[in-house]
Amino acid sequence: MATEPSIEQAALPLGSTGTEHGNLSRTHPLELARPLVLELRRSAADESGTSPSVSGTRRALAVGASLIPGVLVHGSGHWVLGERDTAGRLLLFEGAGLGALFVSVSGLALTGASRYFVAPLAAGAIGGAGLFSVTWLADVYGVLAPAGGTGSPAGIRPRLAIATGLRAVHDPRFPYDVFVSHELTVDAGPLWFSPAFDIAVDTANRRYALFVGRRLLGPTASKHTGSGTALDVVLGGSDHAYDADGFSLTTLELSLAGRLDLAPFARTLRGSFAEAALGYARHWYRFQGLPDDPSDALLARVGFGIYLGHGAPIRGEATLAYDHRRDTLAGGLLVPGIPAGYLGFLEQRTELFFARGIGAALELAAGSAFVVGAHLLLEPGVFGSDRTTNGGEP
Amino acid sequence: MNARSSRAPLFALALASAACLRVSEERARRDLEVGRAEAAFGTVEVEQGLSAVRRFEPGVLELWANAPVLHVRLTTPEGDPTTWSVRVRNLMADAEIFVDDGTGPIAADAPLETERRFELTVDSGGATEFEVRPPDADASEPFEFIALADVQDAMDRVGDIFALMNAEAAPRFAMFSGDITERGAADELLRFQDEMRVLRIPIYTTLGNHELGEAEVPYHSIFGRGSQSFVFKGVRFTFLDSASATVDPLVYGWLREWIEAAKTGTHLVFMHVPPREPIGLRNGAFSSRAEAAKLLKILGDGGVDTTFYGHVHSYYAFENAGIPAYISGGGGAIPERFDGIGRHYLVVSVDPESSATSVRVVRVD
Repeated sequence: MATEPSIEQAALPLGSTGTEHGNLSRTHPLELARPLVLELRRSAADESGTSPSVSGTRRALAVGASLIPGVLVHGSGHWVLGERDTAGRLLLFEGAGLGALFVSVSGLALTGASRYFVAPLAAGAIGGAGLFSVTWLADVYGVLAPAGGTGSPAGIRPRLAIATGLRAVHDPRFPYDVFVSHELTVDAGPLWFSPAFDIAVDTANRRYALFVGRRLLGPTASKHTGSGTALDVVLGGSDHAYDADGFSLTTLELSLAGRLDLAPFARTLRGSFAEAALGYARHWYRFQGLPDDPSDALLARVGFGIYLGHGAPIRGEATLAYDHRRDTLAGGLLVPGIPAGYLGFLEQRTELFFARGIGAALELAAGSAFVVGAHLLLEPGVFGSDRTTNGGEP
Repeated sequence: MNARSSRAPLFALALASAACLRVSEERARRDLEVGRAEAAFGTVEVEQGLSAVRRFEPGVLELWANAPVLHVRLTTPEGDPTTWSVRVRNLMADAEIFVDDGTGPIAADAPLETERRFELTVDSGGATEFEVRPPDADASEPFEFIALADVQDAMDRVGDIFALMNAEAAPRFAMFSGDITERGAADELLRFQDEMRVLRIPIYTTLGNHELGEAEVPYHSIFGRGSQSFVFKGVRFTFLDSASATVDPLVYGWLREWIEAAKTGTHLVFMHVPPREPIGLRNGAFSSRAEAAKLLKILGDGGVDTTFYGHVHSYYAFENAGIPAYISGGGGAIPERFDGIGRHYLVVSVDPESSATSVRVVRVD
């Protein structure tokens, strides 16, 4: 009697047997992705109790519906999938987002972006547009993701996290190309500290930053919640010295930043999350040989992300976000035509731990510059333990 | 797939990336074409592109001036018309025409105070140069001009502003910092020029983000350059095209030359979107705060005396990098509420010797 191949065997790439390549140094590059493939297939195989009777055809139709008309009528994908309650919720939240966007933009128009009202109205517009975007991405994710989701949150933070790597920046208005980038995050219970720097290797440009956070809700290094849902109040200070151009930009900022696991909202949304942040920054433009200029900035960020992998050795997450700030290396989006100058930047960041405590991050940001970052991630405290949980179950 | 074809997508991606990051590059390159026209019957070139060539046909030349003084060179091949009918619009009321034969100002009709029409005898098979300028263009003495911006959809009411401007005796011309129209369509731009026919002074302009509403921006062929610089009475006036909330690297190169040329004199800089604005939470300003700082550092180091901006539909007086700065977007576009300003323009007095400027706000409503 023929036996079914195991998931592990089925996941081997390109028909290999797994023994013909020998050790890792001689392994086909695609095989490096094997653990992730195993995880996704394990998730896909775990269909019981989630979507018991969804045919491939129906799922394909649902994916199509999530795009058209789903890009306008959010929840269309779930509706075709038979997840009517979730479809209704997505449509409801889309409406709320559009409503907030409409009210805020109308307010901006009626007040002529008055100095007295522009901050809450701009925040409302960003929040509304963000909610609109998140509900669409959630619809697409929900019909594409395997049962159980693409991954699970760690549910606990590492005591120490290190990110070290390079950032390549293409900005036609500045002479730098490559930065050495380093960030350290220490979790001390509800408080956390994160010093960071970026130093250009090809011109005199450097940025130092320190962020201090107080976790109000969610996991810490000593508090396991089984969920990624979190809320932090963050105080930050940074100095970005453009020595080659004769100025510095010094910033002091305060923000409230949160992440919400979407699993509690629908089983199809397991493994996904939304992010939002709102805050205020005070800038000081410091010019060599000229008087300083103070300024303010509205900090606002909205994003959608997915967890990758359900446990060791594969764990990670991918996030797509809009960030309203224009003081980073990415600057703000240069939009052709009339709406120039009002947008921040788009960012995609993927983190993947492919061994316990060792991972990599890739970030892409597009604003008035393009930034590509690659970082080695180290979480020394978890080299010998498995932190991943199956958190986020509804 | 060979190596060359495999690199093609990467090359295309790089080009697309560059296009996204240099949204105003094409406009900067169009600036270089302003003031030039070439045909089988001749060529015309306005020095530094300070005028749009509105019409260039055999024996007919029409210019839209975007500066008080124009140097024009007309070259014709052997045997083509030796007498040209020349029309120059948007001139100062006392502008005169001088031909390079040194015989003094030539006779010209003035159907409008800001327009001259004259017959020009050219050297067939050679080049003829003429200059359009007011008599006191080189006299270094105090004078006044008007600064305004942001008419947009208030074109129907712009006559109110022009009537008040006409009532001002002293200002020699107006500097318009962009957002002439709502979308920048050719018919809107031409409508504004029609409205200007009542004016006793010319308006020199740059474009704003609301001139970018068409796929093919027609601004340059109607009004002229977005970024340019000219000197009047010893004061350098510089327009920068910041309509896309950035300045193209090409323009930074020109700016350095203009700053160098004005190093010891008075230099006033005008653009639509300010590098930074007083209400940072709104950020009606550059897309990149770092680029804003870079530009202000260049202006500050270059001894720029005053900066004038539009874009924000209110009035703000502040300093950037130690340079006095004014935002005046009172041309009639949706106003910033609760600011107590409304439609307005600025009358600016400038003394070339001391570089001192003073600003008076004129309310329209």
